[in-house]
Amino acid sequence: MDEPIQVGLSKEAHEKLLRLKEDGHFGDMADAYRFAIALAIAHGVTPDDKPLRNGPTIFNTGSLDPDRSLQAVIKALLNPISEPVYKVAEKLAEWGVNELYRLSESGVIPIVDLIDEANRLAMTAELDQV
Amino acid sequence: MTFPTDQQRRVMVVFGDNMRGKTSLLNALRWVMYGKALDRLSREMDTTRLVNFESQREGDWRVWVKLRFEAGGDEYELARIASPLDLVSVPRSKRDFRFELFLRRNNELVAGDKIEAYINQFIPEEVSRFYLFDGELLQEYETLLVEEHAQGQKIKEAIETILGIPALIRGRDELRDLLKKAQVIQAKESKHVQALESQSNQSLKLQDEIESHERDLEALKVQAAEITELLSGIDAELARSKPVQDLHKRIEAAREQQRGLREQERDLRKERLEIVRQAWKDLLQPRLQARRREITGRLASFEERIRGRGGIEQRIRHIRSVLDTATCPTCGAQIDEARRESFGAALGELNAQLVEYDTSLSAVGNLTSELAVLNRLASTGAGTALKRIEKQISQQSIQLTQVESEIETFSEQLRGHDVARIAQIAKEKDGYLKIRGRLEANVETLSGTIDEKRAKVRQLSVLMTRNPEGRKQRSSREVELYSGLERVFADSISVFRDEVREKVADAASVAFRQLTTESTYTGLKINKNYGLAILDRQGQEVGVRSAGAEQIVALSLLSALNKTANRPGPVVIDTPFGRLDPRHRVNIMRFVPEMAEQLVFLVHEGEIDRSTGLDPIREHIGVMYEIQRVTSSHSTLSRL
Repeated sequence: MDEPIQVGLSKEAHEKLLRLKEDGHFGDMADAYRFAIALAIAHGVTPDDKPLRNGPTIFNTGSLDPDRSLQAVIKALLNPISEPVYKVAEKLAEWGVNELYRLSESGVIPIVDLIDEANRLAMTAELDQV
Repeated sequence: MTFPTDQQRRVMVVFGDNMRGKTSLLNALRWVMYGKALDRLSREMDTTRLVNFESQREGDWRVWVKLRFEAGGDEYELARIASPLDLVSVPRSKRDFRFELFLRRNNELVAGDKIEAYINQFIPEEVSRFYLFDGELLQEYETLLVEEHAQGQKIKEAIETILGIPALIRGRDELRDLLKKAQVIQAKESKHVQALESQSNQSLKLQDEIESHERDLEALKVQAAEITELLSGIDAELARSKPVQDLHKRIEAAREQQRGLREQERDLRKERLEIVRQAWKDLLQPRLQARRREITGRLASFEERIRGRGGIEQRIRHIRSVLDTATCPTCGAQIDEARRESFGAALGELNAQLVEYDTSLSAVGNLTSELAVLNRLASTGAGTALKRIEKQISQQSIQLTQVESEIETFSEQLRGHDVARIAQIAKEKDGYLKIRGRLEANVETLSGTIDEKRAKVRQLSVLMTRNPEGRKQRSSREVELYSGLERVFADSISVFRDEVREKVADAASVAFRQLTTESTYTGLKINKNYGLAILDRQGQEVGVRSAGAEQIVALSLLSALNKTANRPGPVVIDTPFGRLDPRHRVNIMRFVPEMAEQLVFLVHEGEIDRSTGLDPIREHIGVMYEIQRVTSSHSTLSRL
């Protein structure tokens, strides 16, 4: 399966991503995009099969994920079979950006709380499996 | 109000709460002496503010103060009266008043134009601050420490007046004048002596030049004095605006702090963004950890199975050999067809297992490389780092809010004050100081020239005196006499000045050691302006001094002047203990009897406890008064 060389978001999520950067929550949009993907994974978001309503493409995958570690993570944790990893990444980012924007509306994105919450979620998931 | 005159009981204490009029008493004395009353910022109060409120309401705008005192064995009565000008029913300012000043000496009226000279003989206005001492206006005493300070220069001259130095200066000047006149006569008379004609002409020429230089010198001195006067006004304005300057400095300091804090906050936020950049890895750590554990488990199970491969290969080799030879390798018996079939099946099964191991090997390879990738995604410690940085940002933010609120409060206090004007006059001061510096340099050069020419005139005078014809002249003998006397007076001035200054320094040090509670302070060092610096044990000047120390130093100088002055005066101290701790208060009390011949304390009960606080000086108290409130604008004075 050929991997796309560019990734993006829906038009609405793209505007939100821009705001996240402009409001100083992230140093640049790529940081917010990566964090959004990780947030979605941590929350156990399962990307659906529906294609993303594409907005402008934003990043070249080479600059977004230079050492391909994002790709490795998605492969390792979600093991996508039916579509390319970066397509899955886009869907995860779409969810994550919306969530981050929602959180940002209170003025601050509680990054530390999100990391703590990711720990709790992972622990709960493991307990469920047991 | 009667002041104590008994030498054993020469202290007077006036009690009065704030706003009752203690400072008005001090101002009454200042006004009758110098026609000035000062507010808390040392600004002259307008005459309209001196008039009794109740009298004002009744339409009586007169104000007067009468003071009876004794000085040098003579009885004096000084009165100053201000009354509205004709046709002015409600005065608006000082200009609407007429002022009259009367002085009786031993019941005889002193001519109006001589009264001020008399007053300045008692206590010159410039040093009145040491006798009419306001404990709340300490910053003024610091001006003495700055040698180029114009106000300090004026105070110095006034101090020297009460110490008697001008008498010597006047004596020298008068002798110099007599010498000059005698030298002119000598030169003129020597013109008729043939052998001295040339010296005479030279001397007369030089004396003309000296006269011209002296006129120039006088003009330069007048200009320098004018500049000094201007500087004095500027210094006074700067001193008055000191609270505003201080406030402005505090705002500047707070703004500097604000800039620093903002910069630090910017740096912290930048650092935070750098941490957030990598924080996605931390968000994934719990899931990655689980995945790592899963991979590690699977790898362990694969390895377990792979370790069994050697045994299977051996069994395959063994079965193959049996099938190939159809004989039992142990007993050599023939193997029948049915047994060979079962061996064949077992071989097939073992081969299948071998294929499965090969598949596992490739899975192990995949899992190992996945694990390597996942291990590279270690935690960045973002959680801990962010907690630390957010705490710092929050602290910075609190500090910033405090500083901003300080700036707002100070700016509010500064509103209405002309900071630009203060900056302008401070700049003007720099300019005037430069001009005065140049004038003083010119004065020095010209004085040098005059001194050189005077020396030549003196040499010529000596030549004329040595000549037998010249010696016969009376003017030659006068020149000799005046010249010797002038030298004696001139030399005496600096000797006397140094001696007096040393005496002041010694007396002030003695007083200071008695007054201070700081054992590491060993004494005081005096400068040319009679400014006093505190010395520590190593003899080094103490750079920063507290308001309390400032008060102690001022009181020490006051005491020293009283002891060294050729005519000691009474001392009135308003709020004497305001800035002092209890130990300093007790020290002052103990010292009081030595401080002056007559002493008036204007105190409030917050400064000193009426029942026990005065115990150390109880036996020296001649009279006590209390200012009592009747209404907010009416107080009465009653003797206790």
